[in-house]
Amino acid sequence: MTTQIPDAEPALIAAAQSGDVDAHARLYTLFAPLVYTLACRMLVSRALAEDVLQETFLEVLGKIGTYRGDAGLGFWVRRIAVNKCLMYLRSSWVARQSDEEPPELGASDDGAQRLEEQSALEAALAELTPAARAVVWLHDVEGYTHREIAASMGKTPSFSKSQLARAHERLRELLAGYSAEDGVELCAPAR
Amino acid sequence: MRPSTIDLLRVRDGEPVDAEISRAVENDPALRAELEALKRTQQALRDLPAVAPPPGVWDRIAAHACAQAEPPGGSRWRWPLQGVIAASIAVLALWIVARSPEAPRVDDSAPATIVADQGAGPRVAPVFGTPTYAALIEESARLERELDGITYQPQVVRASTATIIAGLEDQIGLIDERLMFARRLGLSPTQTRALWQQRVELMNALVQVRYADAQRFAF
Repeated sequence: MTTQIPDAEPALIAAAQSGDVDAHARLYTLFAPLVYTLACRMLVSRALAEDVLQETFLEVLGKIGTYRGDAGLGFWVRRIAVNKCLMYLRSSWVARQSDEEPPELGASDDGAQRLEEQSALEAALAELTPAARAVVWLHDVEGYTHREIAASMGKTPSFSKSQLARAHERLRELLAGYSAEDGVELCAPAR
Repeated sequence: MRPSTIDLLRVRDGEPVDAEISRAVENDPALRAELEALKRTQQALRDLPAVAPPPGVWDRIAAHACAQAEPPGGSRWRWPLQGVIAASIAVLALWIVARSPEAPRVDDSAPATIVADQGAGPRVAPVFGTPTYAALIEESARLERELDGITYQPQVVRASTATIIAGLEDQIGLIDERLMFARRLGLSPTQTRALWQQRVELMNALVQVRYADAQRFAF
């Protein structure tokens, strides 16, 4: 099952479209975890994810009046967030940052093997190239097709397929070499 | 022929594959194990926990949205004020370009170090107090995006403005080159941060100049 996309009640959408500030805040509460998680996973950096969160909602609030309900609001919000993430990934600054800024090391969780495995997977995900990470997340978790990924990234479906394959090959290598003592927590989960 | 990871992913995702590939996967325990591993990884990615947004972001968004919603100013001071702002920005930009010789340069006699021109070391301008390395990169990225959002019409830019823009872009290019080879040049974190700080200042000036120029056509 791919990511669960929350949706908003029509009344809430209508209130938000009429400029109701409380409705805007409720939309944020509803969709912010989706957007922030997506951005954290794709960009790894908390600071960048926070930027994406902020920019996404500024755009959502700015354009909510144009939303026609063709797709669920959650999908509309996610599309904006994905585009913001991809915009960051296209920036040379992200490539440079991922080259120079090491991830923050944190203590691994004691005992819980599942948390250790998740920590290992997060660390491995962070080791992928930005493009491979974006493709594996969009395809395997968000349920995007290769064609959709290719269109979003301005590449071909073949590019998306090969990036996905490389991502899995690299994840396999990294996870095989991971030891629990290397626990890395890049974006603190909502536990 | 052994199926590739791309083939196995197609099998995993239920996409059509050659009969030969299907047979190979069915008959080879190693391939089946590989396929199962791909499925497990996908499930593990989906099972990663949601990440809670940091507190305070909504307050910033709400404040920003409120500011954007304010009606555009129709004040009679608008024109003169924008003129003063544009002039100030031009002076600032010229000042930044003029002080470019102070930018750190690589000392050929000691390739692993970087030194400043005589009398001035690489310095961190106090624009943001003592920003972190990440904050400077973030700020650079933000300014870059802001720059992308400004309509630029090179064919109608004043010659003086074009000169300023070209000077700023040259300086930014030089800094980018140093940053790109920072490791090879053996730059210390302090020196790299100084370069980022300078880049932020130059980008800021460039954004301001371009913005001021764009405003000429906004009325």
